[in-house]
Amino acid sequence: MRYNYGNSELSTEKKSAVLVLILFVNLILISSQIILKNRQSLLQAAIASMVMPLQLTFQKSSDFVSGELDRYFFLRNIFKKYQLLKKQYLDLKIESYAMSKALRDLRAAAGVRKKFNHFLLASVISVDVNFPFAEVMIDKGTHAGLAENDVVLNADAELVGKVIKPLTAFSSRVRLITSSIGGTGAYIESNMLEGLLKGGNRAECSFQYLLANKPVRLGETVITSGTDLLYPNYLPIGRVIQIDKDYLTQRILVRPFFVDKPLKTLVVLLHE
Amino acid sequence: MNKRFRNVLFVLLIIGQIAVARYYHSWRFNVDLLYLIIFHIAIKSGFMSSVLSAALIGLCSDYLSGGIIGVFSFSRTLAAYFLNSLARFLDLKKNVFVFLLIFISLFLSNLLAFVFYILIFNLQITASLLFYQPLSTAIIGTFLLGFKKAKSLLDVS
Repeated sequence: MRYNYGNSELSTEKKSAVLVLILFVNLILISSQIILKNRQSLLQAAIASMVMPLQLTFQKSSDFVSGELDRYFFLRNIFKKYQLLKKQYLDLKIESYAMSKALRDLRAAAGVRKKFNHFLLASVISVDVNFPFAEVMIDKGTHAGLAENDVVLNADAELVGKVIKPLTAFSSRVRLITSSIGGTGAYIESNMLEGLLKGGNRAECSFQYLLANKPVRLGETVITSGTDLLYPNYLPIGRVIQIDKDYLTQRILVRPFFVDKPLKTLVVLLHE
Repeated sequence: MNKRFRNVLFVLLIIGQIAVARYYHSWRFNVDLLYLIIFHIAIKSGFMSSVLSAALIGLCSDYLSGGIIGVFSFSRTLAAYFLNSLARFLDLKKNVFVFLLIFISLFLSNLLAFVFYILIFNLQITASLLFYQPLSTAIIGTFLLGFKKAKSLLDVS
């Protein structure tokens, strides 16, 4: 019997591949007809077991991604709300500060309003640390209408000092009555004995030129006399805290009222 | 002429196999005439023709037997592959070798199908599949291929 070599051009590897492919297709056909206990064919089960890890991976990945996205958007919304609340809180804080300042100014001006019509509220912005009883600086200047020698009181309408040069548009220097420069005409309120109140860059002032035979008691109130043409009369200045006899006059120490009170808000009486 | 005779023979074998499959229960005669076509192609043609025709004819056998699609296709493909590989080393001029080759190859092929049916599908297959069918097929095959006239017409001498 003659043998026909046929497709001899095919290599052994290709022959094996074709054979394996045909057998594999047949096995696939057979496996599709094998019914397992769960009423699935073997092919379905095999495909399911191949696909299931991918499906699980995809499902878990999608769950993870969706969870993270949800969390991201949730946190983003929370952050936005937080920023909004923070801004509102800041606005309210500023408003509260402004209102409390306005209230404080109103309260501060209450004592002065009864006596004076034209005045201005100013805040102390600096104090000379070397001479705290000499000068302070306030936050109002020529732009607010201040001028040299304007009288400065505290919130209780008690004398503090006067505005001196140099003035700037938005700040002024105030020379305190406790400053060693200058002096203030003053009365002992009870008997209207007049003298000159002189500062010494310390908390107390000396009441000078009061004769030794004039009766003065500790604790008496000292007010402005107005005779120095700087300050209006009858402004409360301070209280007598010490009396010493001298040769012809008395050495009286007066402690100004403003020294024992917070020097935050001042009242500037505008010049007429 | 040879080609025409071969085609006529193939058609007759197919018709015969259909008739056998249809009247199997009444005839009580089990033979696989389609395997003779596979056998002829495997020893006469190249590798590709052998395995592809074996796979297709095996599918036809599955269909005609009413069993699991793919089992005979699988076993016949392997049988065709081995026949195609062994044919060059065998002397098929002697009818006894033709008989033995058909019988043994069909037996082994049916054994493989038997394994599938018994072990995987738990089907009850009678012994006729293993013994009587190879035997009857080998006898008919030897009868068809054994005559000198047939050998000359089929171009197998």
